[in-house]
Amino acid sequence: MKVKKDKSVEGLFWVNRKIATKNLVKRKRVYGEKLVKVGKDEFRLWDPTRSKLGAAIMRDCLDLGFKSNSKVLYLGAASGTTVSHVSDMLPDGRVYALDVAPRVVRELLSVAEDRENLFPLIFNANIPNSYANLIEDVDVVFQDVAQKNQVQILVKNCDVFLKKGGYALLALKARSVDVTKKPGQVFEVARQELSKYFKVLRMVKLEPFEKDHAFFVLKKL
Amino acid sequence: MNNKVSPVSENGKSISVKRALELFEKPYDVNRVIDFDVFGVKNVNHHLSVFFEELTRKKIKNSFSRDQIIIQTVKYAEELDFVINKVFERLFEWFGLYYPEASLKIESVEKFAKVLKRGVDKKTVSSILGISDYSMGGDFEEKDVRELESNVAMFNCLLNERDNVKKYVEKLMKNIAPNTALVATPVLGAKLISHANGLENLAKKPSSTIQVMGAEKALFRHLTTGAKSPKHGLLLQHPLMNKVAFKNRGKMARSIANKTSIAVKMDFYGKKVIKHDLLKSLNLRAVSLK
Ligand SMILES: C[S@@+](CC[C@H](N)C(=O)[O-])C[C@H]1O[C@@H](n2cnc3c(N)ncnc32)[C@H](O)[C@@H]1O
Repeated sequence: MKVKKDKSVEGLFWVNRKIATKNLVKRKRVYGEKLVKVGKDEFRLWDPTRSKLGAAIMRDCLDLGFKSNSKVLYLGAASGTTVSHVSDMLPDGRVYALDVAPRVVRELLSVAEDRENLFPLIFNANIPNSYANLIEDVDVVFQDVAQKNQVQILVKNCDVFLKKGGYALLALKARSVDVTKKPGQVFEVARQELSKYFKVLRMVKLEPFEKDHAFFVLKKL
Repeated sequence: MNNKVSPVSENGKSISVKRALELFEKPYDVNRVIDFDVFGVKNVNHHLSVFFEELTRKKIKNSFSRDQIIIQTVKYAEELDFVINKVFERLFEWFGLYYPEASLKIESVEKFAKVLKRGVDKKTVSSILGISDYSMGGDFEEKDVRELESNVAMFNCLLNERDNVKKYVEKLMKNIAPNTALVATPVLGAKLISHANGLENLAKKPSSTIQVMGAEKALFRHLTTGAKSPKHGLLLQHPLMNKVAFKNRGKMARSIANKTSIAVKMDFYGKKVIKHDLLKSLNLRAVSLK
């Protein structure tokens, strides 16, 4: 088995033609992903059909602002599928993983218990003031809440938590924003709105990994 | 665990996770700040982990409310219905292989279960039904009959379980959402709560949404292709819907939705005093829409 470090993303690896991260918790799976042992290290294959960040990477979004010591605020962490890979990528950083639904955080919690750089939080991302005193300023804000007002939620949180020059990553679900409009239209409206607050570095559609989703890479000016 | 030092400082002093958890119950207090300097750089993450995990466990615990039991129970009831229908279809076929003349007389779940309760052999069944035991059915051996009989017994257990669960839903509803139970009937009320994922969410929905709950596919078609908007979803299961003229069903559904919406709000925000007028006016409405 051949493993190669990715040239631009710190903490990302390629196992044959598949993406992977170095497992922080040996022999443990988070969502049934494949584990691959190479020498002393163990890698978790990152399934791009289960993770929008994984899909974005497969679609060539490689400038994402992650460094091994980045602080990341992750909104809409759910049971921790993607978050776990982010946690793998930042062994010296911190991931604040937030979700509003106790049911999914139950599972997120058990992922976090094994990982010292991953902190679960139950809050509503619409109200950043309710957790402003718990979270430090971060280098990256990631958002995947699949809600109608996704763009505003991102803007509000970046206002409070994102450092100048930091990255905002958004997985936008067209159907959540407006079921009656064509996805392309929804993405365009969002792009214009986002460009009022950020520099839009990339916008890619996540097909074929995820239907009617766009991924935005943004920079706070 | 609760006495470990937390990453939170109050008036410049670090405090216990327990104390911090108490403070964090009031989320808007702006005077609280995280003081990362309290810890050596090495174990900041560890302390934060301990703290956030404990805070989260506590929140999960506090997020429980009794309407969540209603949701699980009513979903269980729906799954039992599904299983019962499937098992019935199979046992009906199975029994028909042996004694088709009898099976034709017990084509409903209730009859099938009741008649076969005392045994499935031709002698017992023919005497209960008062028909001849001369049959074109297959000659089952004794052990084949016993096997079928034990499966039918299991089927009867499922029906008992369904009754018990429905009674439990009724009890829960009368206790937690008495007005909703009154206006919508306990089981339908419980289904609405389940569909909205909680009494609070249901209380926040406008009655127009309650009217079409369970008809999401039709609503989606209406929004995207301009097809007719749905007139009712789950509310079709309301007993009063059968009492009005077919063409008036939309109107009746709207009235039920209105009253249900009021009832749910009373149950969630109010003191849960039962307001019988809600049902009375619905009954009158049904008479006028006959
Ligand atoms: C599509 S899932 C996220 C999947 C996850 N990012 C992954 O890739 O593993 C969306 C999540 O957003 C959460 N969510 C929705 N609204 C939210 C809000 N206002 N605040 C926080 N989380 C929210 C939902 O509970 C759900 O778990």
